[in-house]
Amino acid sequence: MNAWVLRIFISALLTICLLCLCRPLIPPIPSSSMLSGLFWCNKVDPGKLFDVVFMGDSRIYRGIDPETVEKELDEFDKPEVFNFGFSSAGLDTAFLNDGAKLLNPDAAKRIIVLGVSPSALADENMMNTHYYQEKNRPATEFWQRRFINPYLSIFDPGNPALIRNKYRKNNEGYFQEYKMNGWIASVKKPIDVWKDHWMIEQGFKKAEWSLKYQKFLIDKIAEWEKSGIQVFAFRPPAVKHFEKSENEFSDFHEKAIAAQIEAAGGEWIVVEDRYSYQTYDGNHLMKYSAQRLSAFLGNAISKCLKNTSKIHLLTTLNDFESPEMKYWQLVAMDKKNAFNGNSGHLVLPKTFSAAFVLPLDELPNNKLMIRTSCWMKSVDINVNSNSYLVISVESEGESLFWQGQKIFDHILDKSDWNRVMLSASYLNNKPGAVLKVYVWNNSKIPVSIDNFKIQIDRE
Amino acid sequence: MLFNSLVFFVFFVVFFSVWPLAKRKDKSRWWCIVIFSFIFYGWWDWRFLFLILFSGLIDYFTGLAMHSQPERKKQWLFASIIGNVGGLAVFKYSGFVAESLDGIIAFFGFHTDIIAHLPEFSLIVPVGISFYTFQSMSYTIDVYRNKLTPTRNIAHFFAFLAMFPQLVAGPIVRAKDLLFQLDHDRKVSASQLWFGLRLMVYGFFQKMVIADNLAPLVNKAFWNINTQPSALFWWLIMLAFSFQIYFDFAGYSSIARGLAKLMGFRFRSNFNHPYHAVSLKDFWSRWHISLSTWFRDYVYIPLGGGRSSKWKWYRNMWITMLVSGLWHGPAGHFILWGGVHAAFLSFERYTRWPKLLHSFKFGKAFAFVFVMFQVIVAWVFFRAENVEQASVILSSMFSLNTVGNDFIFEEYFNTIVFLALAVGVECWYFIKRKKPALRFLTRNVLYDCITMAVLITLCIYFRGPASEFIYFQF
Repeated sequence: MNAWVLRIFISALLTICLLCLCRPLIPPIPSSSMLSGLFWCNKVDPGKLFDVVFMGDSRIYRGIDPETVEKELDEFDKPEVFNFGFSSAGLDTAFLNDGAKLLNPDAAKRIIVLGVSPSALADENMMNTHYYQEKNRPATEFWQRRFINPYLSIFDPGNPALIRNKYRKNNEGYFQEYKMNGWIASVKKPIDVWKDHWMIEQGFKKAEWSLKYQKFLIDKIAEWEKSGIQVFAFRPPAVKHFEKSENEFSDFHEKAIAAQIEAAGGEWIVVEDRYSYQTYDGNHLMKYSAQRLSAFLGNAISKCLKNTSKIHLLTTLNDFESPEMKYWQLVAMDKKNAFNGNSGHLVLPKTFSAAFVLPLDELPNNKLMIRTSCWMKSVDINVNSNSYLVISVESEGESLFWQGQKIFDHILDKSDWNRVMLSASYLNNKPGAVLKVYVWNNSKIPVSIDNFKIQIDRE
Repeated sequence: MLFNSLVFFVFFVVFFSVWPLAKRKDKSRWWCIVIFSFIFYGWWDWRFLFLILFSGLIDYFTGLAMHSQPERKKQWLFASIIGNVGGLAVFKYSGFVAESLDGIIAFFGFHTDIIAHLPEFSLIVPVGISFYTFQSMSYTIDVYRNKLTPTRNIAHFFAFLAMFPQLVAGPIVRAKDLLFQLDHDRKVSASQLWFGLRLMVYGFFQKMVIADNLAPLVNKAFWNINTQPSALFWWLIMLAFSFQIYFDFAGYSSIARGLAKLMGFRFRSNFNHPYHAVSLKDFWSRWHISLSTWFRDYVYIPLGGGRSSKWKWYRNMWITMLVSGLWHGPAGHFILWGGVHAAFLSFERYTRWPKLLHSFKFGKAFAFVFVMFQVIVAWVFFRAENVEQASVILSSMFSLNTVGNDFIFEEYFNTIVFLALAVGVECWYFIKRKKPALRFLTRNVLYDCITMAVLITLCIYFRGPASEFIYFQF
């Protein structure tokens, strides 16, 4: 054999020996780069349809475990849940439409759950670069990632730090389990909850939040609700200093967005104990916290789905089209400003609106859930910053209960009609008590209201 | 198509299954190269093919026209340069020009938005456009200078222009070097096969193990400028980038040369251990040799070179370096990079410091350190996103800030290991050059085979996150 050809054969033989010898000695990276390719291919094209789809950014794909949600929703015909989260995803219409296409049209319940974070509403993220990068991969690359790469994961590379850690017997690293339901179960050691904080401090200062994208989202939710898709939304938790900076540097008004999502028919889930979830970088949840959050959300959705079958004790909607209505005080109609129909109601400065007044003796002696909402508009909402939507219970001139919602907090579009809402729980055990619901305009300019709705349920 | 991808592996297998048969006859050899090269290039975006066709057709026909109408040579040359530079201007520089014009007009208090009115296609830079445009232009210029007889066969011409190993990132091959190689069936000996494979493996090692493992930290640092403000951190980053760009680009060139060898062709070396240089002039004779000599032959010498007077040398050198900066990208920081090198070269010529230093005992060592210092400082402008970022980084590098120095070794352990490997590789070559005994010892079968096996194993088990070759963007 030619000496040069012999060299090639000896080299090939030595390479094979070395590869076999080294594999057990070199710890591969904790997150298989080969499996990640398959994961993202599957995410953009899972090849099946689902009953529940979660959408959002990296906080969603690291923070929501569909399997845990499925367990919580098990009683509703064992729904299948999918996580449609992408890095720096923006909740723009095209992305939302693509996510909604993953819903099974024949499912008994079709549910979309949106992770609404400031980042997901920032203009710069509406490009959805990561999503389109994955979606628009050439067919050959897609094919390779899906069918070839998983078999090559034996060749996953290592690095010197991993060898050092193995030698030191510490298990530091970024461990990512790629689940085919769209979740990346993530554990990173050591934890550094300030690690990504600079992104907020620097990135958010430059970023912009256009109102139009928030309105597109609200319109999309309304459209979904009309077509029978139930929409839930929540703010994915992060550490306290993250949220503080997000609130400080962004034009993200959580309460206002929540109110408008609910106005569109969606359900806003407030994550309880939101700062108790453990993150590894201040931003993304550790595996076990992700499962905890998923269980909480699954449970909240489950409760809500059960609630829909409950009988309401009373529902009333005052559209201010006529001056008289049962349980409502006489109304001064305003023909100039109306959310819909021909007229609304003008609440003059330093006065109260026409109130809904209901003697609670007419209702059973139970714990009551009182929900109210109304649409409002002002010439200058900043002046109306001290106006409230109020639920109160009085008895013989004495106040038994009072809860108010600052209108200003629920305003998303200052130049348009916005829905303001308030919920309160009250134990109806005092005879002679009277429920009052009204708008208190504690400012110097009038405020217009319309479609004042009150709903009372037994808890 | 990336060399370090599975698709290229399939392409490689298919091409070398067809090539031994196709190379026997001229036409099939040329068409085989053209078709496979167009597949290779079109893999990024098939629409880019129109551009290479456009640039190639201009020079193919211009070459023929100059040959048949020698009295109109100058006009044809002018037309070719206008066509090629025009193509470059539209696809590579229109955004830069529009932005600069907007800035200038804004300076006088008027608001324009020229960049918004540019057609979208003009803002996309096709991969390797600068490389093949220059290669195509050199063909016409050589025909103009009577150094080359134009080919009549269009496949022959495009086989030279589009040959896939060097199409997107060089080395920029001259027509007079390659056209004649394409003229006949070149046998590939077993030794050529070995050396070709060895070059490729070494190129993959440079790219996948060193450059790709240095890239994440460098990219992160430039993405978020305030990662760490300490001077040590930024010197580490810049040293890492210096080796990243060298190994990335030299790796590509090695793979390209290796592939050419397997096909039976020979490309000239594009790098000659530039960080061994002991003067900046020496550095430029070792770095990106095909581009440096291109600028020397087609810009610097036509301008008059350095023969007539000292001041003309300065003028011509400055022009060449600034154009070289502009070739890399339509941005102020690239031009500044060229300018910084020109300034350092002027200083070198004026003070003749290398000559002075080399006469001392450790003078060459000092000279080497000083060259590295200058090159690293200039790389700041090359790598920075803009001039503003470059100035912030430079001020950090020359500050006394030590915040976070304690964590550098622990935090950037991987980068430091691969940086040490890069430095080690270059030291090994340096020592080998200086010690003939070592050179002799390493010239044996076992050393060669073990080296190959170790490099392949490193490529598989220690490869960094795959990324494009840096020079694709040019």
